[in-house]
Amino acid sequence: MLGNEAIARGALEGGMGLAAAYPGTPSSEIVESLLKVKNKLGIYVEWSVNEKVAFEVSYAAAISGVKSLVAMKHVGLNVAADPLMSSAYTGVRESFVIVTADDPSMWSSQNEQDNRLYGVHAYIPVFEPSDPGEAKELCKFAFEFSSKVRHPVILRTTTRLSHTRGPVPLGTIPRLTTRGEFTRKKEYVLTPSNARKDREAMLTRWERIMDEVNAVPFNRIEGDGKNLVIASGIAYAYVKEIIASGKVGDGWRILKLSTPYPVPRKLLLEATEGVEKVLIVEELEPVVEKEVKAILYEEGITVELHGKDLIGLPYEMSHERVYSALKSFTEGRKPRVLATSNAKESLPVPPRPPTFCPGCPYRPLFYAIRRYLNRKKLSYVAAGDIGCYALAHNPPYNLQDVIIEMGGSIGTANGFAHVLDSVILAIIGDSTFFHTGIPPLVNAVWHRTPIVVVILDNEITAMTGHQPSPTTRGASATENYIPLESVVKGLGVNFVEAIDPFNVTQVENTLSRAIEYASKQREPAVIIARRKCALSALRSLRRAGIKLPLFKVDLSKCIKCGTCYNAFACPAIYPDKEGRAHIDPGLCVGCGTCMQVCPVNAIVPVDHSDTYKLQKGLIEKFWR
Amino acid sequence: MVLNIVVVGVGGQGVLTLSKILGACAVEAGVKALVAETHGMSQRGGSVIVHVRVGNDVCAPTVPLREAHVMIALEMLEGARYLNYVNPEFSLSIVNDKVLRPPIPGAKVPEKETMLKAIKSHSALTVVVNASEEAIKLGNPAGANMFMLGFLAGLLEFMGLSMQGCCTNRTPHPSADLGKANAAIFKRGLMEASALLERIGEGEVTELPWLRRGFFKT
Repeated sequence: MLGNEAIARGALEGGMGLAAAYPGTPSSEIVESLLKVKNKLGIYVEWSVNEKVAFEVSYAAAISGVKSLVAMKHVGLNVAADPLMSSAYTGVRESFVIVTADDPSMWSSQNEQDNRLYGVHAYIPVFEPSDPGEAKELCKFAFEFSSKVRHPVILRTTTRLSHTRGPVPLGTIPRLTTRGEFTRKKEYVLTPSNARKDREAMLTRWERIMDEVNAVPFNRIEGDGKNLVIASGIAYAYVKEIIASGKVGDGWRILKLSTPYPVPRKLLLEATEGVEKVLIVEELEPVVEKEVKAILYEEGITVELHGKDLIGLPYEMSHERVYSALKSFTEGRKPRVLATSNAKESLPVPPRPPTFCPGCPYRPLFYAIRRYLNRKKLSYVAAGDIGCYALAHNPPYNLQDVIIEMGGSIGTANGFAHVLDSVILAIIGDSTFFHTGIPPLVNAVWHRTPIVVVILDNEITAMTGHQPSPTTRGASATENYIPLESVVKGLGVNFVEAIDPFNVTQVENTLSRAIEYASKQREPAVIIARRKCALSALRSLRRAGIKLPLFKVDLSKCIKCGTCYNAFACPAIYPDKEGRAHIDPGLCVGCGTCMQVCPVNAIVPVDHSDTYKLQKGLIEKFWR
Repeated sequence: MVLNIVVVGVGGQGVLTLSKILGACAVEAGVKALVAETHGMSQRGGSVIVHVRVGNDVCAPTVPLREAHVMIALEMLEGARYLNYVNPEFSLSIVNDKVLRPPIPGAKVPEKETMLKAIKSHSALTVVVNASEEAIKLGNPAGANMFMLGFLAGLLEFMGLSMQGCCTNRTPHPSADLGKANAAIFKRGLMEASALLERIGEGEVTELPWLRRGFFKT
């Protein structure tokens, strides 16, 4: 079972009746797996429009007495930080578990913030499992804990936990309560006078929480010796394995922590009794380290203590880092090289950054935009956003100049337009637009900001694994389709045109008119580029058992210009030693868009043209 | 006893599918297995590495550098990229005879011979297989991963884990035809593994200390 699936299972075993989330790697599979059993168990589960809304949906259930869960990636909690802070003030009536999936090493994120710090900031206890099996048990326990102390709890997971598969023994799922009851109380209304009372009540709850964490069965002392290692979350797995290997000698006591915040004081004091040295091993920020230092100081205990000085701060944990830290710790020396990234290459090989899939509608779109900007020699800024299209930052497209957060493209475009004389493009996906793209577009309409917004509508949240979005047609009977045109027009945008990104000429013409409109009318223009994500189209084609048309290069016509493999850059097209193009039948998905970019029409369907036309007609509806 | 496997390739080649089935079958055969995947951004045609660790002593999800017993490379350039995981003293590298050029303007891929030489010098034993070619012949152009799964199942079965039945049940079958093709490709990989096991200790096929019957029983 995947770590995220284990968390979902733990939630069900903990009695969860409602879950909400916005997808984001590495958190997505939690609610994805809950959705699969939603009907069977009669619980309510939804993909919300963003993390803030998901948080509020779940919080409302918890204060109505329905045990609930909200899940998001680490940066998603920034979006939901506002209700997060307040939820600790009001407390909850039933279990409220906030799952944050952090991404040390930034495998799929813009930063590697440590969300245990949100626990410190908001007065919310943080639970952290060490493997998929424990993730299930700990999630279940988090529901019990939250219910007991009437307070939200944070369950923090990381990429290596969420995306690791391992054996998970299953328990029973109790009868799940899905209907609640809301009792009016002043506690829920955070006007200043109520908030002051809530603040005091929260601090009283916090006293109890600090005491309760000492009895959490997932915190324990293992082994005995003069050296104490305090390991939190997945760091424990590495510490345990290296000590068990015997490579660092014996005489180790381990304090395994599953509540990095607050650190269980009594248990810590018990663990430090009679030890000579302490090493704290944790990923990212020194959360436990600072707590331990504070507690030991308060208790008047002086002991040699190490942590980030030996284990290093950034990136995820590894055997090498833990081994080197334990070695330095026992030998009493500074580590020679502070371990950082794992990535070292043995043979100089070219990088292989992720790229648009064969058949992706974004490739011809960015190719056309790039070609247009080059031809017109326009000065421009392409404000980018979070999604597959962030890959257009890479060559040959180079069309994402700023990417900082969800919805940031239109937001920063607003600012660029007021200080630069260039063409300002904002490029954003459909799901991201609904997430946080609407307020900045309203801002642009309001202030007559001349920007061109390109909304890439592939009718799905693609990057995170194809979760439905408001633009998904016919997802289910309980979900409405919201056409982007109606939203954008409703916001007051006057230039709104939908185009087919597979049509390179149409892209260029529409872009040209939109740029002219924005600069003349001094207001935003919106282009909606609509075509299904190639992966969804291909999945349905495969299920329908339809054979894809294949393409080949007529080598007698090929002029070795490289447009198809260097400028269009489809991974299915590669050059031979002479520079002539070839199409890999194992990768080509038959979209046929490359035919448009070849200047000498050397790319042709493998099958006879009549057969191809028939085939094209047949497959087109799967792509739209 | 822990068997460390790294599965590398290009996003879309089915690295995740292969590793997922492998892990599930090992667990079903009664041994602990952890499979550390990479998702999201790293999946779209990018370089992918999945760590598979099989054995009841496993705690941590990733394979330590230079400690992989087996490297499965679905693509040669990716095999050459992750050589820091293999060890010339004991590693077996199984390399698909397939090169995918990164679609970057002007990308220069080293010669196949250069890459193979590097892989060979870093591994105790290197086996080059025609996984992609066989997959195309047997009806699924994207089925090289099933070949590799078959190969691994053959090795693990020899080492004492009953894998074959479980793997056969789990090979994906999005359509009837593809299901049949995948089963055939899996079998092809399995046969190649048996052929290798028979040749071990002969000529160029070095004996590997861990590749023995009863590895998972001791």
